[in-house]
Amino acid sequence: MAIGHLARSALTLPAIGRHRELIGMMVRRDLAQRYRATLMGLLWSLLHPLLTLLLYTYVFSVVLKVKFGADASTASFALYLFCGMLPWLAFSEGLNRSAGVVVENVNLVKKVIFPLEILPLNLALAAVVTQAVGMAILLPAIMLRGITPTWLWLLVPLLILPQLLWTVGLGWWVSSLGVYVRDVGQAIGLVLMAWMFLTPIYYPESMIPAEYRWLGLLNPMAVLIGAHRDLLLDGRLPAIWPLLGQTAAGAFVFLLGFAWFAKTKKGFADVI
Amino acid sequence: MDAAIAVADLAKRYELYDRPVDRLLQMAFRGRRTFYRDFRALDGVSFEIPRGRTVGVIGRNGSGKSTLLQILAGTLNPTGGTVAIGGRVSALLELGAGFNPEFTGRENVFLNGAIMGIGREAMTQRFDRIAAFAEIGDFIDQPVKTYSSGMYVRLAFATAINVDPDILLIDEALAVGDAVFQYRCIRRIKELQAQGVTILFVSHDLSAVKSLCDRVMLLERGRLVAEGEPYGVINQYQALVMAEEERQDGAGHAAPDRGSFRHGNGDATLLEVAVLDADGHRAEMVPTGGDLAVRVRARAVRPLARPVIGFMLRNRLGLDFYGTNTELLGHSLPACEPGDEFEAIFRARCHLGPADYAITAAIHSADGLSCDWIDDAVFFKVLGDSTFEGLVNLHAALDVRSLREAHG
Repeated sequence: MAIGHLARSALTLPAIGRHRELIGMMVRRDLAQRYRATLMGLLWSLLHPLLTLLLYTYVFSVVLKVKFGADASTASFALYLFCGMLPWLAFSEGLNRSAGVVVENVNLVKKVIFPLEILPLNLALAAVVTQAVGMAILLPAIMLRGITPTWLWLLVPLLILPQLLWTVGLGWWVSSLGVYVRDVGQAIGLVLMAWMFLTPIYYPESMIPAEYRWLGLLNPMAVLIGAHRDLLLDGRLPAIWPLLGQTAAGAFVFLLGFAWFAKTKKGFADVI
Repeated sequence: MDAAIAVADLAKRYELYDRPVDRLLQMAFRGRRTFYRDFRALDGVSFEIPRGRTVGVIGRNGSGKSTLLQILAGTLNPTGGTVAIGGRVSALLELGAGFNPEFTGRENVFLNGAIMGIGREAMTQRFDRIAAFAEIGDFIDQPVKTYSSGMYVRLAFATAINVDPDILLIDEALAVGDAVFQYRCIRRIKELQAQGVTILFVSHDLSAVKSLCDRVMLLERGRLVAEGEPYGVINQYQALVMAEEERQDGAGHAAPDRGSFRHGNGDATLLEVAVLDADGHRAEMVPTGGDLAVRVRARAVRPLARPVIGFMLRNRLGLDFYGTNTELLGHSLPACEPGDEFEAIFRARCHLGPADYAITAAIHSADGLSCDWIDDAVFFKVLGDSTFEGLVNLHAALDVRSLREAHG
């Protein structure tokens, strides 16, 4: 019976399309709000990852001597790192902010007739915009290193689909749970930190001991980051089955997450 | 479906949890254990509102008015019963709730439009109307955090009523803004009424309820206790409030049940309320500009330290035109013993416009505790003359002179 409930809730998913315009406005608003009244504006969205990149490159490449790519130079390390950081930052930002997004918008829950399910979606999309800006820096940097663009680069945008399915799907779970159990807001930071270090972002997948490497297949972000590096830096097609598998799993998480959110949102106004 | 809003056996039961996590535990245990305390905000409420009607919802604080509106708006889920809504709903549950302080008035208007499902293009067409109604001038392009609270509220109201709803839900929204703005809001609501919009509004402003509503519903402790013509229901509400005040004042004796139009603690009884003409005879009609006297007679049932006798004049819409009492007029009545009877005659020149009026009379203690109160105890009619129109005669003086003769 519970399954039937969820299935029925999932059927209302297409209605989200009606809110395209609202979603667009809210994503723009979110980005603008973050940097409005700051002197450097959108530059901040670049400064943060770039400084992180610099520090991590120093720590992991110069100090700890982690090697990435064919020529094993520090510059090469920075490119692999940046390439892996962009999808991860978008994913973790979307998920991290989801935990509190409903509670922060108590007015929209209680005082306005509002499609709450778009809130986690907005966060994920806003993070993808920042990711795109980062991409606009990464690509010229790769070319400066002497790697010529190939048709494989055109496939990179396709990777956004599984990434969004996972970010939004988990975002729905986390945001709804965050209403009922406020501890989620605290826990999500720890979970994401653990997830980050377990994902080959700061080190190549090849450094993981062989007996643990299969775990990477279960980690959607490991598969996606690997695919980004394959396409942009190594000039090869990524293994197709892990990608398809993670897309299918993402779709499942997405649908179930939406159904869960649609079912539990009825109680939001009572709890907040 | 003919009804704009149909509600059957609506109930909202709050499960009061001490911790949010208890709610999740409750879901997990599915009724095998109880983690909450019960509170009924709405209990078995049923009604139907035909299209194009304006219905007021009144009731004391905590009677369930706002809960009802939130359920109709869909922001709150009922525990039981059914709600059927026919049409697009615009709800003013809290003015400017959807506004973001960092953004300009213009941006917020468009955002609110998008929340209502109105696209940018359609909103652009309405924008000038909204800006004109809100009257905030160049501030429209400033962040709303720089607005005065009046400007904020004007913009929010202007936005909410300009999105062409089929059904408009308003919660206490009219209580804000200055008199000019309130007047404009009411005029706009009347326009919406004329366009056939169904309006449901919650208010403590009884004169607004009287002048706008076709029908009034009275909620008390989550139940719908009265529904009907504004006049009668409002009187019932006032009796309810009065009874509660007396109970809280610790008067000891609850008001005896003497119908909704008469209440009091019974320390004294009104014997007569009468309208008298210039000759001192009982009258049912008074010419405008003529002498009017209201005679109130009362008898003390228990010893009274300082009784006060007063009256209030209302028109048919329930607007209170004028009221006064012995204390306000500087005349303290002496203490009296059971059985003492006394009379107060209030004399006035009647400058009212032609209409039907009712007199509500009361005898109460010096601190306002009602002994006996009769709503609409007696009616009379004011006959007009041909020198003016409207509610009152202000006796305008007139100067006319010619300023320029073009063909001279």
